[in-house]
Amino acid sequence: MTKKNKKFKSFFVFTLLFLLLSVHVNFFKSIYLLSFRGYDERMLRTYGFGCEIPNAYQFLKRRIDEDTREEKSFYIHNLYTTQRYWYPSINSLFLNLKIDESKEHLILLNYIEEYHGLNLKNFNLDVNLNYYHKKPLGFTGCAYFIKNHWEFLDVRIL
Amino acid sequence: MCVFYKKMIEYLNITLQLTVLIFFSFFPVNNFTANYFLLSFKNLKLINYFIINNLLLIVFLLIMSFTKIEMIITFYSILTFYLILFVLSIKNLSKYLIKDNLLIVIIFLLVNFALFFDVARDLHLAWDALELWKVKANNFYLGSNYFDVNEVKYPQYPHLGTYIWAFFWKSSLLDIEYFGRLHQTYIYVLSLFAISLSFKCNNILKNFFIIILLIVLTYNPSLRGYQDIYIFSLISFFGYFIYQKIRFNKKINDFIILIPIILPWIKNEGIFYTIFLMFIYCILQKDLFKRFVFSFLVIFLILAQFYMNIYYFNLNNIFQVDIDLSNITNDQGFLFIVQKIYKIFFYSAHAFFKNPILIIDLLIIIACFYLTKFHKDNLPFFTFLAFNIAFIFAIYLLTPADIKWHLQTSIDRLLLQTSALYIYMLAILKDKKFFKI
Repeated sequence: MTKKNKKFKSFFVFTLLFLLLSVHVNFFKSIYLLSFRGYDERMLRTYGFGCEIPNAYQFLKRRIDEDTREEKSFYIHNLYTTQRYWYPSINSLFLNLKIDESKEHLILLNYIEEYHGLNLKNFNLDVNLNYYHKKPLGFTGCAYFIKNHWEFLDVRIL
Repeated sequence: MCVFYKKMIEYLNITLQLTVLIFFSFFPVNNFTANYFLLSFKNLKLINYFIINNLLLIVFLLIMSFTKIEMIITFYSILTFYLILFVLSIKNLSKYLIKDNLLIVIIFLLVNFALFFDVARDLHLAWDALELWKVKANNFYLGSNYFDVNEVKYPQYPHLGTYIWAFFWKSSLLDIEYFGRLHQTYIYVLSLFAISLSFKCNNILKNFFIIILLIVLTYNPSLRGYQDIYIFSLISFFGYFIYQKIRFNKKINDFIILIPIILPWIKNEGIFYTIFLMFIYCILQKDLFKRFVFSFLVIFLILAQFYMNIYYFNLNNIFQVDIDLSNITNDQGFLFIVQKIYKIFFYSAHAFFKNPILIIDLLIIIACFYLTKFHKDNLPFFTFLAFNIAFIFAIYLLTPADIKWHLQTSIDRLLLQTSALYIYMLAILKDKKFFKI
């Protein structure tokens, strides 16, 4: 075998091996997707557009990004995943997110008012939505509530 | 034009991240700087320097994780120090990298790029990663150190992997979390090269083939964000040092001790692996002084870790579950234990199909036992195997959790963590001319 043939053979084997690797780790697919989809779009496709089951990533991201408070604290309750422990919470994807234990700012994911009602005790959440007002955000299946302080006011009037 | 630029910037940053990782792997110890440090480090292979430097970097980051020093300051301090070393060695660097190791460097870059792009494409994080590890990484990213555990769910869990994640995330130009995870992939690729280069082949393409085979057998995208890959890689590095000692019949490299130091800070099971590896180290290390000092150091660090967990976090549960002998001796009959053992075997078999490397491991172990029996060269690997089997049975027999759930969610990862070590037995068989490549 001539030197030229040997070099060609080596190059051929090298290319073949690289193609094998490429197929296994989706190399060309990755290049294509990285070229046409930005990071934000890839995140949306991974964790869900709008209020998509299970994580409703887009809704959460928009709500957290648009919050103007210095400390972005919310109580997030996903009515779909709480009953399915094998779905992890995606709260850790949001860097500055603080958990609002007082439940002043409540985000309900996969919440349908007609089905779940206003008292959510049966859905692992000790909250009565009669004491909250809903912020309209234009997403079906997700909702953002802020606690009223009217109940204390009512007591004083009485 | 603007859209094109935006897309390209991610590629450029991935390239830059890889450049940084390679740069950090080339210093402080290499063939040229060894003149300024210790002459005994001279004439090692490039892969040896890469492994040693990465271990040193990880230990350095472990130390920094206990301090209040900002990650960015740490990053630029390391970079500045390495740039000085780079200036010292610049004359020979191009010759060493381009002339002597060109093909292997090209393959190394290609494999890294292929895996990095896959990580960048698939941003999905697995269960533990989202619920546990990413929370810790966020905490470090926002400037906390080991002692600040605000809102972290399991503060007693080892933190080093997530600190490294946050470190490379913070130091990347784009503020994107997956850049931090690229280090894990990089270490994984390095461990595969260590295994592959243990097989002395006359053609580098054969080594490339071994690397691809190992990727096909071990690369598991469902483990994104998990710390198991660090354990896999570190145990693989340990195997590499042992293999080098056996193959060249020389003293064991002292940097091996960094691995048992790092392991307990990556994951809880790392504590047990450290004990097993130190046992093997003590068998192989002939120098009594080193044997005593290094064993003492590792035991001291493990005890310090326990102490810090209990003292700072006021937690008695170091591990995920209460390990208590009464779990098998009290109200559980003999039949229950037999059932548990059956389940362990069943789910182990399941894990073998999930991670095909385990099937290869099993074949290697059988071949080694059949061909060489308990030859002294294989003894470290067989010792580790015996410890590992005992460890796995002990965990699942003692667990108070539902054994089926526990096995389903963890045994495949536990078996994968140590799977790289046994491949070196095949390299030993090759050296003994039982087969040719």
